[in-house]
Amino acid sequence: MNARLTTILLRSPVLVTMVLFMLAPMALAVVYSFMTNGAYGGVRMPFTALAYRQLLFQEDFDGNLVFSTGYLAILWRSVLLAALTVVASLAIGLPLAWYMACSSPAKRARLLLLITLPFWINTLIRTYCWVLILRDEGLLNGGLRYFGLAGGHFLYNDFAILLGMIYTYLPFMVLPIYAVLERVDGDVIEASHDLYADRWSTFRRIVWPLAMPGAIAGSLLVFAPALGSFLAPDLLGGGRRLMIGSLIQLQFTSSRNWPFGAALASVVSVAILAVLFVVVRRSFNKVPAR
Amino acid sequence: MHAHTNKSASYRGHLTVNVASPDQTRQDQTRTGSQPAAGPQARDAVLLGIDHVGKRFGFGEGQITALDDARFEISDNEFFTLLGPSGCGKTTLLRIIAGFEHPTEGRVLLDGRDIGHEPPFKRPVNTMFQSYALFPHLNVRKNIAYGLEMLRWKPADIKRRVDEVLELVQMPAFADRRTTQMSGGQQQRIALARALAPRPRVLLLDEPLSALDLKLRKAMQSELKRLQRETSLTFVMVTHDQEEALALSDRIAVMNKGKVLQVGTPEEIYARPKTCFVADFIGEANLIPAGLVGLADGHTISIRTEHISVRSRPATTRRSVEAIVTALTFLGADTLIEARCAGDVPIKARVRGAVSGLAVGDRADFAWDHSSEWLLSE
Ligand SMILES: Nc1ncnc2c1ncn2[C@@H]1O[C@H](COP(=O)(O)OP(=O)(O)O)[C@@H](O)[C@H]1O
Ligand SMILES: [Mg+2]
Repeated sequence: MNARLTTILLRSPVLVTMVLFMLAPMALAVVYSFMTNGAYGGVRMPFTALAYRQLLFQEDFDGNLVFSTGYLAILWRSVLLAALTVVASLAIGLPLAWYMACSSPAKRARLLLLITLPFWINTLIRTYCWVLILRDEGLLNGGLRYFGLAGGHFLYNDFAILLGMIYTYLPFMVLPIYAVLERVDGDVIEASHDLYADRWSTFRRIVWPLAMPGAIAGSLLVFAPALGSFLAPDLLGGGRRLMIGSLIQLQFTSSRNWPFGAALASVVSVAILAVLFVVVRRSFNKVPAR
Repeated sequence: MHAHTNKSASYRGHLTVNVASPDQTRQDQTRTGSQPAAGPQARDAVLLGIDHVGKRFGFGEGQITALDDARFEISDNEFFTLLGPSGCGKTTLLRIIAGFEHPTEGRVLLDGRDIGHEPPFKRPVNTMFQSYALFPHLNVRKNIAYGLEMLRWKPADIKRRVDEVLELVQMPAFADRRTTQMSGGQQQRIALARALAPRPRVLLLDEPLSALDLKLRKAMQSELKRLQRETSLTFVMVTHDQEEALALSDRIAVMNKGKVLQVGTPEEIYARPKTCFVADFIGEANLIPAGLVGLADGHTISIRTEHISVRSRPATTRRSVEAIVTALTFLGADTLIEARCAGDVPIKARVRGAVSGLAVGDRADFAWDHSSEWLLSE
């Protein structure tokens, strides 16, 4: 067997997996987005760009096409929410990962288990638990009232959505950062203190740059699913604030407009890929390979 | 010498130095002055005082005493070595001087001021780490400049100083290299340069040579000695290798099980060990119960292996014991003769050249001059 063939054969499992589970569904979504809406859902021929027209224009009463920002606003709001989720989970995840990396091996294992524990429970159930906590008769208000404090309406607002998002995606931020920080030699931190750097300078000049590759990976891992998420916006936002994920989901269920749903999904995918492309290019220029 | 004056000036500028009151200084000196004054360094000013320092890890049952009532003084410009077997507390003491650990008892005095509970970034003390601990995301120049930037030196001064120390460790061509691409020996020089750059009052080195192969180790030994002379800094080195300690140090503190057993010049420690442990640990010494040679019971005498001669017939004018040869090992320049005398006490002699007319199982007389034996006090 020649070397070339061996290489191809060895790579084939990866290639097959990538094509089957990543490229094929995306290609299918793109194809669907250019087809005609079926009467009871699904798609049919002929090919058309109607779905993309719907994204940007609305027909007024006279049948004229008018530019409309309705869907773009939803997309923008979703990007903003995803970005906020990234920033918040970075702010919480970085110190947490740093703390974990500095702990003793036994404590590390326990913390790691705690971080990954939520993965064992269905996201829907976990998100619904937040409803139980935040609603007017929920745990939080009960607790506040118990201590004689005034309760409030915590559910069905933007804060509740953000909280749910952070809760859901925090592990995706913590784990990659922990993975890079864990490999950092503890002596390096002591060396920094030894060379007259206080805690803050050490964090800024040593810990943060070393954590950077993990922070980038974590940000991407949080941003991508956060942009498409619909559970937290629906359950915790009460569906009042439509996010792009919910909008897409609606097109495949009650609205029965698959081509439009596929078009929205394609736009989101392209947006994420664009972000990915920029971030990866920039980080490869900046962060030296270790 | 010029660099030296500079150093003090720069520190006064960046770090607050509380000058101890004259009363307090005198008191410090009387308390630690009970240690025997040591050799030629005694005239130099005391730089670092280890004053009844103890360190315990943990609580209750599981408590470990890593360091027990250590006390000695280190002079300015001295090459001082902490010597002892693994686990005796050398690293702990070094880390206390650096500020990574704080003593549970006692004081660490730098220029008469107690710095025992100051954080490491406030001490004019730098460490060369055993693992080098270079910053992986910074190149050589940035690594060395790090401490200087933290001390807010001017960029032009930083550049000049970095070039200077790179010259000093003979790596001037490496300024813009990545540290991750360099060999262990090269990384070590950069780590040394980084620690030297801020002109610390004390440079700490934890087992600096143990990771190097034999040839590199010998080269680095003379390198360290040269650097210490050229920079006229105070070096405090940790090692478990007695040969290394004897070759490099102005003075040595021999440690065992968290205790400092003896402090002195290499010659003192070699020729006049105070305890059996020191005698045994420094070079090869024979420890013979004093009763065996007709001296008072309960004491031990120590004789270096090279001071013993082996005869077949007793010599009456010298100290001698009779022993049965158990092994003969030809070592090239010397031969090591191992034997057992009365009471199963082992005795070793190192004689020059090859030995003829002596075989394992033979009875022989092991003799030495009175002047080469040393009565141990403990
Ligand atoms: N952080 C620590 N926690 C608990 N015990 C420690 C710690 N550091 C050192 N020790 C203990 O203190 C003793 C001395 O250690 P160390 O100073 O590293 O010895 P050496 O450097 O001479 O080999 C050892 O028994 C070691 O286990
Ligand atoms: Mg050690």
